[in-house]
Amino acid sequence: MLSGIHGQDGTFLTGLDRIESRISKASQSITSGMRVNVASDDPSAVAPILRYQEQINHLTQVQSNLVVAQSDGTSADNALQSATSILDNISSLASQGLTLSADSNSRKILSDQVQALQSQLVSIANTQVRGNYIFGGDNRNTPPYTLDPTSPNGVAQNTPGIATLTVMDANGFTRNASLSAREIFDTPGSTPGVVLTDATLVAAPALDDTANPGIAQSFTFRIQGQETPLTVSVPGVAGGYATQASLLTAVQGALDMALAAGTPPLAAGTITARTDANGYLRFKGNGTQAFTVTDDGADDTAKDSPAGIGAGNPGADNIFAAVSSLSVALLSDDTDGIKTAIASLKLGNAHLQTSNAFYGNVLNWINNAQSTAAEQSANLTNAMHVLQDTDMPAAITTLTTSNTALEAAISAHASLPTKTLFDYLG
Amino acid sequence: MSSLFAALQTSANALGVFEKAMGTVQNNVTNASTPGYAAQSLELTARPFQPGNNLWGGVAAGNTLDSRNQFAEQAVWTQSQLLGSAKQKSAALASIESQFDVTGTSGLPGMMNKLSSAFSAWGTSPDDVTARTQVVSAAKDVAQAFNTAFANLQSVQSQSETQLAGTVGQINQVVSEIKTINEQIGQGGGKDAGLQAQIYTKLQTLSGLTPITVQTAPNGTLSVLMNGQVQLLTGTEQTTLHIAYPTSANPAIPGGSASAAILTDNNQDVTVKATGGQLGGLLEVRNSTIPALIGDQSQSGSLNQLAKSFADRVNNILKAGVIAAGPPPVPGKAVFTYDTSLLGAVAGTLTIPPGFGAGDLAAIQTTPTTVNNGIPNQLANLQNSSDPADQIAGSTFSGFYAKIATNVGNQASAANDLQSSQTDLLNQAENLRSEVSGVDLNEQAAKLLEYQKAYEASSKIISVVNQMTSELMDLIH
Repeated sequence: MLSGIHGQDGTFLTGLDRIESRISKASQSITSGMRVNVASDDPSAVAPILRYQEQINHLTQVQSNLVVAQSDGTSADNALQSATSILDNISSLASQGLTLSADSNSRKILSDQVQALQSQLVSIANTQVRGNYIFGGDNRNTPPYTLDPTSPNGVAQNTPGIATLTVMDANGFTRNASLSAREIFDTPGSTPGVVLTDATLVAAPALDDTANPGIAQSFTFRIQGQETPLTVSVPGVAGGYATQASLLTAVQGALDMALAAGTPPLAAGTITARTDANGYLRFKGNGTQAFTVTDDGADDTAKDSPAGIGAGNPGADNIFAAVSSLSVALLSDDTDGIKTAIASLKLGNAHLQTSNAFYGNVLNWINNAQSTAAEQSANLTNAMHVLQDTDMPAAITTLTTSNTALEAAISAHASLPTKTLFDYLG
Repeated sequence: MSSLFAALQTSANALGVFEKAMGTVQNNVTNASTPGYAAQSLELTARPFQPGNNLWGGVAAGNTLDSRNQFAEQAVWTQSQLLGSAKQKSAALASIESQFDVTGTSGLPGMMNKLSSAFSAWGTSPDDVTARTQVVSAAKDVAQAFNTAFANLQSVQSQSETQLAGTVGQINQVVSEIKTINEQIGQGGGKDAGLQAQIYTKLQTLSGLTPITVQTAPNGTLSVLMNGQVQLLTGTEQTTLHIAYPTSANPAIPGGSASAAILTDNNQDVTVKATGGQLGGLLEVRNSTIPALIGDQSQSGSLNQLAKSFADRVNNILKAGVIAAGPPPVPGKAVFTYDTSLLGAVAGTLTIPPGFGAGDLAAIQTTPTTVNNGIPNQLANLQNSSDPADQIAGSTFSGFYAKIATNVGNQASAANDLQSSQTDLLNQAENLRSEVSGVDLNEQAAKLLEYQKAYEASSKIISVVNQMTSELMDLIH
C-alpha cells in the first residue's frame, strides 16, 4: 500500500462519487420537476403529498358530481315553473266554468282543455335529463306516472315515488337534492298510504263466495322490506257478509292476525282496511311505518276487481287529484265540485311553490358547495406544489456548483506532485 | 595482520548485509501497490567489537521487520463490515422503495384514488350501468395494484435470497483460500511478506462480507472467527456455512415464507451471530425488512394488512346494502375476494370474484334509513371517515399506505446516510493503515541512498585494506 498523498485515492474517489451523486439528483429533480420522486428523497413529505393528491382527486370528483346535480336541479326548477304556469291556466279554466255563461257544452270543452293540461302535467312529472327521470325518486329509469282516466286521480303511479338520493359536498355532508313526482304532484294524505296495485278482492258489499259458500278467501301482498309475503285469509260466511262493516271487521281481523304472524310481526292496526265508494278494498298504514304494499299479482279469488286501486287518501294539496276532480266536475256540470276543485288547486299551487322553493334552496346549496370545493382544491393544489415541486433556482444552482466542484476536484488531484526522491537519484 | 584480514572479512560481510537491506527496499518498492502489502525493513544489528578478544565487530542482518499494525488492520475490518452491511441495506431498500409510489397518481395510491372517484361518480347515478362498470373496473385495478406490489416485493425477496446464497458461498470460498495460505505458512512461510499480503487481502475481503476477528497461532497460521463467536477457520480446519429456510410446524401465518437461517456444516444455527457485513445486511433485509411488508410465518405484513382491511371494509359496506329494494330485497355482494387460507399473501391473491358485474353492486343503504345512493356515498367518503371501522390503526386506508411508504423512505434514507458516513470512516481507517504500514516511496529512496552510501563506504574499506595488505606483502618479500 502506498502511503502519503499518493495513498489518498480512496478519499478522492469517494468525494467524486458524492459530487456526481449530487449532480445526478439535481438533474433528475430538474427533469422531473418534482423534488420528491422516491420516499427517501424526503420521507416527511410523503404522507402530506399523498393526502393532498387524494383530496384533490376527491374534490375534482365532487365538483363533477355537483355539476350534474346542478343540471338536474336547474331542469327541475324550470319544469316546476312550467307546472306553475299550467296550474294557473287550469285555475283560470276552472273560474271560467263557474261563470254565468257557462253551460254543459262549454263546461265539456273546458273539461277537455283541463285534461290536455293534465297530460302536460304528467309530461312534466316525467321530465328527463340525460335519460334519467329527474322526478322519478329513487327509480330514475321508469316514468313515474302515466295518464289513467280510470284512476280516481287520473294517473297511474309507476314507481314507488320515494326520493332518497343524496348529493355530497366537499366535506362529506349530504343532503337530498330532489323530490319525487309523487311528493310534488300526488301528495298522499296525512297517513302514508299503501298500495294494492292489482286488486284481487272485490267487496261490494259482501265477500263473494257464491261459488264456494263458507270457504275462506285469501289475498296475498308484500310489504316492502320484508322477506315473506303476507297472506290474509278472510273466513267465508255462508251467503256472504251481511254488511260492509261486518266484512271489514272480518278483513281487519284477518289482516291483524296475518300481520302478527308475519316476519317481523307487526302490531294490530299497523295496516287498516277500508272499502271506498267504488267498493274497492283499500289499505293504508297508520303512519308509524312508511312502507308500501304491492300485490303479488296472482289471481287469488274467483272474481277480480278492475285494476287501478290507487294509494291511500290523496292529500288536500294533491295536484293530480285536484285537476282530475275539476275535469270530472266540469264534465258532470257539478258547480259545487268545481268550487271544491278550485280550492284544492289553490292548495296544490301553494304546495308547488314549496317544491319550487326546495329546488331553489338546493341550487343555492350546490353553488356554495361548488365554491367551497373549488377553493379547497386550489388551496390543496398550491400546498402540494410547494411540497412536491422542484425549487428550480436551487436545483440549477446545485447542478452548476457541483459541476464546478467536480472539475476542480479532478483538476486538483491531477495537479498533485507525481515525483518522488527516486526521480532525482542518479 | 590479523586485524587487516578481520577488517577485510568484516567489510565483505557488511557488503552482503547491505545487499540484503537494498533487496528489502527493492521488494518494498516493487510491492508498493500490492494490496495487503506492509512495508518491510531489515533489522541491522552491530556485531561485538572487542579487539582485545579478537572480536572485530561489523554489522549483521537481523530479522525482517513487518510494519503491519494489528490495531490498524482491525479498524479497517470493523469499518469494512459496517460499510458492507450499509451498502447492502441501501441497495435493497432502493429496490423496495421504488415499489411505493409517492405521487398519488400511480401504483397503489393512484388506483385507490381512482376507485374512490368511481364510487363518488356512481353515487350521482346509482343505476347508471356505465358508472357501475367503472366501479368494477377501478376495483380490478386496485386488486391488480396490490398484486403487482406484492409480486415485486417477492421478487426483491427472491433476489435477496440469491444474494445470500452468493455471499455465503463467497465467505466459504475466501475462508478456503485463507486456509490454503495457512497451509503454506504452516510449512515455514510465516514470515513471507508476500503470503502475509495475500492473507491480509483475503481477510479484508472477508471483513466486508461478515465481521471477523483473527487469532495468530505460534506457527503463524491464522484462526478466523465470525463475530468473535463462530469458528470459520482454525489453522487448516474450515467450518463451512450454508443457508436453510426451516418451516415452522405451526406457523402463526400459514403459508408465510420461512426466515433464512445460517447453519454451519454440522447444522448449528448461527443466524443470530451473523450480524454485520454484507451477510448481516442481507439477513436483515430478508428476515426483517421485507417480511414487515409482505409477511412471513410470524406476521402478515403491512401490505397484506392493508389489502385485507381495505377489501373487508369495502365488502362489508356493499353487503350491508341492497342491490334492489324488491320485494324481496336483493342483498349486496362482496366485490373483493382473496385466499383466506393464505393470510400472508392477501395482497397477492386479492381479486374480483369471477363473473362479478356491474349489476352486482349494491347502492341502496337500508339502515338507519333508506338512501338510494347511501352505499356509494359511504364508500366515497372512506378516505375522510373518522369511524374506526373505516381505519387501520387509527389511520385511513390511504394514510396507512403513506405510513408504510414513509417508513420505507426513512429506512432507505438512513441506510444511504450510513453508507456515506461509513465510506468516509473506511477511507480514514485505510489511510491510517497505509500511513502506518504502507510503503512511502520517499522513505524507501532515502533508505536506498543510505544503504548505497554504506555499501560504497564498505567497498572503499575493502579496497584500502586490500592495498594495505599488498603493501605489507611487498614488505615481507
